Amino acid sequence: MKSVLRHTLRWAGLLVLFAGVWSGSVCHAQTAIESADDNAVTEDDAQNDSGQGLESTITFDESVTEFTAEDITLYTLYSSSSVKNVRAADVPNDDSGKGLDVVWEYEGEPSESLVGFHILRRADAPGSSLEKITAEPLPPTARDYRDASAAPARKDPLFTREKAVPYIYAVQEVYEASAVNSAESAPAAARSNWFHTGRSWLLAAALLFCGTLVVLTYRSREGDPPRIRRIDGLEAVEEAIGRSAEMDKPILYIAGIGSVQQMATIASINIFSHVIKTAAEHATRIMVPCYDPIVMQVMRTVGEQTYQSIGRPDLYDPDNIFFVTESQFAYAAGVDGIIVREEPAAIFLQGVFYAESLILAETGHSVGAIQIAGTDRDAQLPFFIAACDYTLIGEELFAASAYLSQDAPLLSAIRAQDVAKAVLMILMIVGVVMALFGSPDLADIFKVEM
Amino acid sequence: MRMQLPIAVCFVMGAVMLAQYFVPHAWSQELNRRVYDWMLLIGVFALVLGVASLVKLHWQRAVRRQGDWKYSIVALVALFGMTAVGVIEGHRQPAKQIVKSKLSEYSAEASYERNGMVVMLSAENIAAKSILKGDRLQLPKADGSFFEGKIVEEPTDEAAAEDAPPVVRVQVDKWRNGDPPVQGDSFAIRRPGLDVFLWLFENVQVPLDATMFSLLAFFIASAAFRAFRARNIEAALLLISACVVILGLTPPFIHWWNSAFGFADSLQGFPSEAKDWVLEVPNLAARRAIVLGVGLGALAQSFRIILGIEQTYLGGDE
Repeated sequence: MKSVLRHTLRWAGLLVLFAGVWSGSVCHAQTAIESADDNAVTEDDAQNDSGQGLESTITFDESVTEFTAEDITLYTLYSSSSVKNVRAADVPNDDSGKGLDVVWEYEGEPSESLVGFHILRRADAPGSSLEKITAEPLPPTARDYRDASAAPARKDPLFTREKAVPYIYAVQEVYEASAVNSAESAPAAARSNWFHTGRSWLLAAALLFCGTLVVLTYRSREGDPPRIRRIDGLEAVEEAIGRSAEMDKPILYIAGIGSVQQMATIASINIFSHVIKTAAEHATRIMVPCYDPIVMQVMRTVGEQTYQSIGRPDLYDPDNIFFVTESQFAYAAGVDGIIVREEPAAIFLQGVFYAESLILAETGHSVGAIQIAGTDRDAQLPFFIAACDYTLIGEELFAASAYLSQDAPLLSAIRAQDVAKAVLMILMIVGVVMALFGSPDLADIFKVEM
Repeated sequence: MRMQLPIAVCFVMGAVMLAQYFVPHAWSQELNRRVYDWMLLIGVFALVLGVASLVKLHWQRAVRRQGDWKYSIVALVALFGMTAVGVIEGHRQPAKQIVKSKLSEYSAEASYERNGMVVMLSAENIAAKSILKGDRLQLPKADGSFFEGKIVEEPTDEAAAEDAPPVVRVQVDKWRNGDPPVQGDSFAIRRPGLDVFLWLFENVQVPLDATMFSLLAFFIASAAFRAFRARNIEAALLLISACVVILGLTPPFIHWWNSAFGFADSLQGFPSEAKDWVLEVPNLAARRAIVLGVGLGALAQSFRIILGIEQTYLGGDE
């Protein structure tokens, strides 16, 4: 009954507006709403009741087709919006550039005549009026809207943002023949956030891991050096370099096609530091064709420092560490050419590799070189395992520096890694058990927004 | 001091950039942007050093007539040739208008290709042979902007033989909201000037890249041949898994299997299911373990470097 009345009133609203436009001014009319004044329904009542309280007090005379301005006012008063609780809030975890989120509740009955919602906005300043900011109505199922235009403008040259304007919002219900505005929201302004709450768990985990690492490093310096398992690929480093020295053939060190920002490339530079030191001690030539010019510069610095540290700066030739190209397959072709021409006795493939991994490794295999590979790209590991003599799998690449140096503080970092791994395993088991018993998904609890 | 300063810079920058990840504030984003700009600048300077190293290496080899020095000549000619073309030409020559006509028919295909929508249009008074693949079409809109696109297929003479205007397939790469073109709209087809740099890139560099990439197929075959020899239990398991995956991805085998075991519904599609199981259960579990280890390893290494525990990357004695 309530629904019928509400729809009737909405259609009446259309008729009222149509009649108003038709006559061009106030027309002579009979009232369609009887005894409205007598019932004394206030605006607050209308807001609270959403028009539902009119059922017993309003009757609608369909024979009347002309209405006065007073009628229109009364109709607007009684047909208060079904949109409730309009709220506007800053979009969290941003630099204020995403604007404001507007949410609302719709308490009306489902209706085919509901076209959707328009969002109205005004600045929180005296004299401002609501303006429509949506070009088309949002769908009837919509209950939220992100107003990106509420974001303050960027400020050059600092590239920060202007002071945000506080806005007040209302939601307009749009029907096929009428529209009703909701009550206004409280003012809200977009603001820059100082902490990304969606990354809290990540920060906590990083700090815990860092703390564990520091504690274990401190303990190792007090005489509790950790031991790690034997890694064949790293044990073979000496053997490979010794073989090159015996055969009087060069060593080829390939640091992959990663940039210096990538951890696998940094791990490769660390391994290179040990390899070039051993090669220098054996007075063996080492060639390093580079893909990234920054990596080339870093490796040259490492090489120079290493030769100086062992007292043989005369043996260092910067031209042995050279740039080839930044084109993936041109690099592969260039390095393949070097392998075929120089026939190195040992080849190190350490770092970031993509499709060129097997091209390089197979060419190295064809000249009979002993090959030690390592990468963090899981998709390339099978190729290295198939074509190389030894392969550092994933984390072994990062552990290599510590393993080769046998430095206690560095080894303690690997122990911290193992502690973290154990914690993760426990969490996985707990997660599986919780899932089996229908508890909330552990992954949801520790969810991180990237 | 020579070691302490880089370690101090590394600690400060590492800690700041770590904190930056957790701070979405505009100032933090600005800092991040600037650091990336610095990295780009360093990269440009490093590229100059890299090219200098490349030129020195090949120049010395060519001058000293070292082994395979002729390849060094090729490398130097390619390097300086491309640079010269890029510098002298600057940008492609001005485009020449070859057709100006009015649209007689227009239709948009449902498919979208890599760089935009493909539309088909036809027009009177244009000779099919005068339009080449790669020509550019411009169709002015009422607001002064253009529908613009590259002709992706040369019109054939078949339409002309049937006394119908040739149909031109155009890949529109600047598609903007607005009304589609209608019959009678005038349009122009222009032929871009010769771009030697682009021509060299597309006809030398790209085929050479493709050649290198195609070698991978043969290398995979030779590596697989060695890897799949069942020398021990692990290698035998690898061989069996590989066979399951290869056969599960081979349509003729799947077809044969379904025909041979057509009497048993439960065996239908077994090769594909077995392949999926191998890839999604044991293979995925192992990959996840590796990825987890890589993540922790990278994190540990980052902290080692930021905290100054790891100094190997600086060279010299640790």
